[in-house]
Amino acid sequence: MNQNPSHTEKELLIGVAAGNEEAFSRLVNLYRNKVFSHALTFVKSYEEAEEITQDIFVKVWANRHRLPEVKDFKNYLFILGRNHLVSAIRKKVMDTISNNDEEDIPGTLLLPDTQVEYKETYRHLINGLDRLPPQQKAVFTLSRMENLSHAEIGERLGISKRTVKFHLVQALNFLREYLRYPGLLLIVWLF
Amino acid sequence: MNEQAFKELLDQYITGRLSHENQSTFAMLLEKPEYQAMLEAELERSFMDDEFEGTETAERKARLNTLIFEKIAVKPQGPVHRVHFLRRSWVKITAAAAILLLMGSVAYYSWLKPVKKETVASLGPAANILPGGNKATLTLGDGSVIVLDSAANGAIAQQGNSQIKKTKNGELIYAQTQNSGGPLTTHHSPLAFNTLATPRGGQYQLVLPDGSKVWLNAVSSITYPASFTGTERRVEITGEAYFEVTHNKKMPFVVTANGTNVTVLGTHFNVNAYAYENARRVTLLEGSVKVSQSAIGPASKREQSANNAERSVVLRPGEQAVMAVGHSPLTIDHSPDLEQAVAWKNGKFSFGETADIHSVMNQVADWYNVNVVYKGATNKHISGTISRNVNLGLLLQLLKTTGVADFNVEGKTVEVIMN
Repeated sequence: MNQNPSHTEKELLIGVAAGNEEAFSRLVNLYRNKVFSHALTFVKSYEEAEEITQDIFVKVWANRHRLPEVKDFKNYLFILGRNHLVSAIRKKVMDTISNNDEEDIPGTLLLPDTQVEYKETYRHLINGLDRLPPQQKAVFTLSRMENLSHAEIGERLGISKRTVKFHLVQALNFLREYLRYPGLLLIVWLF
Repeated sequence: MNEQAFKELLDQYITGRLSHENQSTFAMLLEKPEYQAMLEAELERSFMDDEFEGTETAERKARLNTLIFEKIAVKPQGPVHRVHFLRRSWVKITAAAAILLLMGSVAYYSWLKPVKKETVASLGPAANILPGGNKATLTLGDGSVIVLDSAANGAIAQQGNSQIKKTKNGELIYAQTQNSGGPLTTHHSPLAFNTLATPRGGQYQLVLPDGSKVWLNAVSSITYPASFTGTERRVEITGEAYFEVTHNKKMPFVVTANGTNVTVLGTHFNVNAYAYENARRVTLLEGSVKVSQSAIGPASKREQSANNAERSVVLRPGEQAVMAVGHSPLTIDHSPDLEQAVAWKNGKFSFGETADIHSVMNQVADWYNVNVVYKGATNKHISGTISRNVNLGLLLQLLKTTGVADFNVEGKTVEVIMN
């Protein structure tokens, strides 16, 4: 894909190459969420997605002299993070196998057996589920509670498999962010 | 396996629907260059299509900006939104007490370690302030001092019949070397007193010549003879220490801490006698101890006789003797929070329901070797458990989430801004 970077973006890149911090800040604002969302989807770890995002933008700054020659900045961003992503994914898959009793946490948490053990987390998860947009919540619930396949969920809700996948990823990414806060186990008592 | 089947596995992976069987298959495929290429192509396509782009929260934006700009050492331009960590839903709650319950696991929160830079309160430098560790000095009978964190492991000194060994785990062991028989031993006084002292940000473990174990918290000390002789085993402490005393009916173990004596035969207990605490506390976990208080201050004779019974108490396991500062009598708390009392020994900070911000920050100051200044006042309480292994930035970030106070760190000084 060879999008032409917009005029403004090209200007930004030249600005960054010249060491202009404001330009860099604007560039980060344009792409930060794209880079992070993508990384979180594939590495499934909030911490690692942060690391990858940080790494990519730090590389952009460190190699800013190259920016004037970059034809497709978005693709350049991808390439800067590619190896990191691939190795993080492989590590994640291997780790999951070595802890083969631990499924995806939200999935496990919905099993009644583990509810006691994870009572706090479970309650927090439910709170998180309630904050999902209705469609995401419906897809997530059907997938995890009723254990339906993507095709079955699509049929049930009248949406495509691809949309099911999108909603599931969004729901998981939201929960990964929501559950990561210490607020997970944070209680306020009023005296 | 064809490309379509591989993509199906990848979809299952990202949606968390990969079966155990498929997991192994997927892992195997990812070792092969041709499937790695397929993965890379899918990664690229989904990135270029913004296929999974979600909503960015203000919190995340601030965190990522901090991570990025911290690394390249330039400041993000434009207003940095001051985001209250998870506070939004509680802003309207004027909690008299905020309970912070963090259930230990540092690993779980370790991704919090980068700390936001904010325009008002800055925790940035705090991320570099590391928690305390195994640090202490040992003063021998002749007054010579050994700095334990830099001393090599192994035998470091001989005191009378005891050989002093240092292990790599921050532990000092007094081993009895009876019949060492050399002519030198006769020159040693049998009552060579040694003192093990921890600085701010230090802790240490000690195995006494009788096999009793002592855990010494930060800014604490213990003075003991290099070998126990006579009718009792007497040690003196300042600050806080946890004891696991070996049983010896013939030789009771006596701990003196700032006018409080704890006499035991063999047991597990904690003595907290920090000068800044509003009370000295002896918490018993196992066995039995007698806690007695030396007369403090000029109480009238009548008062003294009235309080006589309270000058000495016997604790049962799970009880805590409390000696408030001043002339207060010795009281027993029958159901103290045991976990909290010995949390420090288990690598945690634990603040009880009555812990005010000053008590919390006193512990923080001792462990991170920082100075604390206060701005404003509050009567809110914080309680909960946090690992002592985290850097100061993370600790403050977590404390901040209670909404009780905000923090500003400059150099080694933490400013506590009451909310």
